[in-house]
Amino acid sequence: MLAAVLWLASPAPPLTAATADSALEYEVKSAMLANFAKFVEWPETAFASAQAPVVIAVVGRDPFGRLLDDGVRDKTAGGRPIIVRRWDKLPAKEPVHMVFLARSEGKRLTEVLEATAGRAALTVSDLDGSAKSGVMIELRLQDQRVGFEVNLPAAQRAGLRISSRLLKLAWTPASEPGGGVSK
Amino acid sequence: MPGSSTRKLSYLLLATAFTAVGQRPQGLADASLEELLGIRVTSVGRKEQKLTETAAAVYVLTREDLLRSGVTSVPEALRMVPGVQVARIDSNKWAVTARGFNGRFANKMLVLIDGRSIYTNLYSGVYWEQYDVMMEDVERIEVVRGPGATMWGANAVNGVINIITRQAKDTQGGLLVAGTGNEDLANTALRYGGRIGELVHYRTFGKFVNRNQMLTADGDGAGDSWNTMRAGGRVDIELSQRDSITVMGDISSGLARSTLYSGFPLPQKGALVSERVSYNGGFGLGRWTRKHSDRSEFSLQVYLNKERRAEYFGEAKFQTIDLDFQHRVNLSRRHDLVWGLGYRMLKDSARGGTSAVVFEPVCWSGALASSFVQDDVTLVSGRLVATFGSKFLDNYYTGFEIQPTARLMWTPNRNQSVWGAVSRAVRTPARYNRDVRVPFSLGSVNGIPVHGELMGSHDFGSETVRAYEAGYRHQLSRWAALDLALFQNEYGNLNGFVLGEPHFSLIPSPRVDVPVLFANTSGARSRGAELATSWTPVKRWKMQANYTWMLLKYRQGGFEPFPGGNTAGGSTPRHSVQLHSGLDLSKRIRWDVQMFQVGALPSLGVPGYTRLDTRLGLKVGEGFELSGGGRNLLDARHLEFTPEDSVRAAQIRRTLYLQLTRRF
Repeated sequence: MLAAVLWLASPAPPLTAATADSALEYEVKSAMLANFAKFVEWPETAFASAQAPVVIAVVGRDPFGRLLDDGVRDKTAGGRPIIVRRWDKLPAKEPVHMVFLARSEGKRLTEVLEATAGRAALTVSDLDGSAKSGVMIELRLQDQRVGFEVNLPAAQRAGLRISSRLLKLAWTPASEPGGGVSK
Repeated sequence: MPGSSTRKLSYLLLATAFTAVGQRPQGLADASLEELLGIRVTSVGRKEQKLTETAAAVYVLTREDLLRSGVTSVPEALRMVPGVQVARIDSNKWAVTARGFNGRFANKMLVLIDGRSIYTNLYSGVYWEQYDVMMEDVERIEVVRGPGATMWGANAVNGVINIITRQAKDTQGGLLVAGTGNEDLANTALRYGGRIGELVHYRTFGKFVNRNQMLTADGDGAGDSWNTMRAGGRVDIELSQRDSITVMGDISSGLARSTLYSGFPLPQKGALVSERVSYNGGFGLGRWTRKHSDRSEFSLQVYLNKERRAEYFGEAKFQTIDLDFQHRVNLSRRHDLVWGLGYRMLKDSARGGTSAVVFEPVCWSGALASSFVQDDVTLVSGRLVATFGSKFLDNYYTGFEIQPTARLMWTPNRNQSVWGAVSRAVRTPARYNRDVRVPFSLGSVNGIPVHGELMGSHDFGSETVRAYEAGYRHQLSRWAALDLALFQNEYGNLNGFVLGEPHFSLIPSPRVDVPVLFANTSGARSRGAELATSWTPVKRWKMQANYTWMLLKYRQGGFEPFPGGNTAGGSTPRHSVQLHSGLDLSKRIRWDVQMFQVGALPSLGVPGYTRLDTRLGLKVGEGFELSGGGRNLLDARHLEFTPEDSVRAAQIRRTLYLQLTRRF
């Protein structure tokens, strides 16, 4: 908490997030979330009707604010509108198609993943090592850019189809982000 | 698919080119994944903290805020910060503080540029005219109100101002700024940034500003014109994944004129002296940062600073060498620890000038060693965090000083947080308080002249504060937020005077000499509330309204030799209001309006005033912006402050300007 204040004083570049840097980081991440919806195919049973929206759920301390809402406004995925909802705890009954796990949920990762199991929901997080822990897409910073790693088996288990175009842009766990092509 | 990868590459280049010249690509919401992958977002560590997670009254002026306001100096930018009091004394002098005790030599705010302290040890406070930074290079200005001494050391009694410039990789390409108006007659800057390979980025810049005079009460020129020049550069080297090195420096020189009342320390109104302050200096800074992992990183910094300043009162030379080490380590889930060591060597000389003010000794050097430790303890994950820390200072004047803090932050849900803090901080004596000598006349008794001599005292110790703070932040919706901070500060051992032993002499003629010595005789209590609110009714219109209330009761102890006495009790307005509106009229046109309503300063004889500033920015073409605006539009001129020394305050005039910014 006060590390922020502390690092204001530090000779190193301070580590506050209320900065343009971090705002841009989350602006990019929110735009990526909106993009992911276009490259994922959900089973028909995931939606109540043909017009039902794609629901993005932000679980935990929301890092996006209105960025995400602005990012998905007037966007569609497979002809469906995209909406954003926010929860501290994922409700069992509500339809959910993409779940973003905020960094605040580090300790509850397994709990949230259990809540999404069997729901055909794409899980995304920017927690370190979350792809290894079973999250389908992990957003990561590398070389000052935001990239992502895909845990394909986890997505397949949930009955989701991820477009090959998305997979091509993903980093494999060991790869450098340079070419953006997985080998 | 060769075709697609070629396209991808061009997207990447496009995105990188956008960010390379420091512009945020427009409309990220419509960007493709390929474009998004190419955007540089950050280089700082992963352990980032949101403002809402900080148990202190913190405010950040972003680059966007600075550019939109059109300000051309740091103190003018600080007007926008809630709870900070900025008053312009004349064209080249300001009084800047938070939470009271404002003055030209406001000594309770610590000011840093890229981790380098610009607080002067000779007089205490900051010579703002000597730090005319390149505004286009500023990434952000972070302001902490309340004691920050645990981390920053002495003199961060009422707050810390931290000016952070951009990394070299964020200032790539060329930039030309040319502006003119009836305040900044010429405001020009040129910068170029490039890179050597993938890992070395650099920039170099030069700027020149010629500022016009302000006005006297009669509307004549106040004799306070100001020229300043600065040139410098920065190199950032990424040695490896975990090591990076930054080297920066600049040289500067300037000439600031002003008008003084003669007869310091008892100014005789009417008897004026034209003053010509010339200054020059330079600094070099090197910093090595190593990031072991997300949980541990350290940095080692060294800087050298050399300055010279010649004015009516004499010539002063300063030299500083500062070494600083900091290490952050995340010990466990519960403990996040930061500790550090610092060592600073100071050397100065202060030779008397035309006036009778002298320093004894003329040359001085001293060193101070410091260490600090601070632990963030997570009591309930995501809900309750406590912070304990202290700075330990061993300084040349007062020896060992402890400046501890204890803070608690409760986050009941993701939209609200409540915090409280108790801290102690000190303002260590300036050399002025210890070594100055100023003879002056106290009139005569029975025909025998009485001479006073204002003297620094070696018994003068640190001023102290015990600060109690509380705060509440609420993100009301995605469009509205409020941030409230409350404080009560109890000051002890404040600067006052005592009478020394009078001395009679008969030769060559009868006279009485009375020493007047600096002493820690006074105290004060201040209370205040600072409220900052923001509202964004539509995406392209952002409004802010801030209100500050404060009351300071000063307890004068000892002897008061000067008429009017100490003005600390009334140097800060009781009420001040700031209103900002930032509207994007279209993708190319941005219109900003700021209004400041500042209450009267009774002990300084300054009436309250309202000022209105506005700026219109027009993107004419790719990398080409034309802007214009006006400051202080509501009246032809007004007074903002009367300083504690013999400088005659000028009336701040209404000004208009035009500026051209070209990126290439």
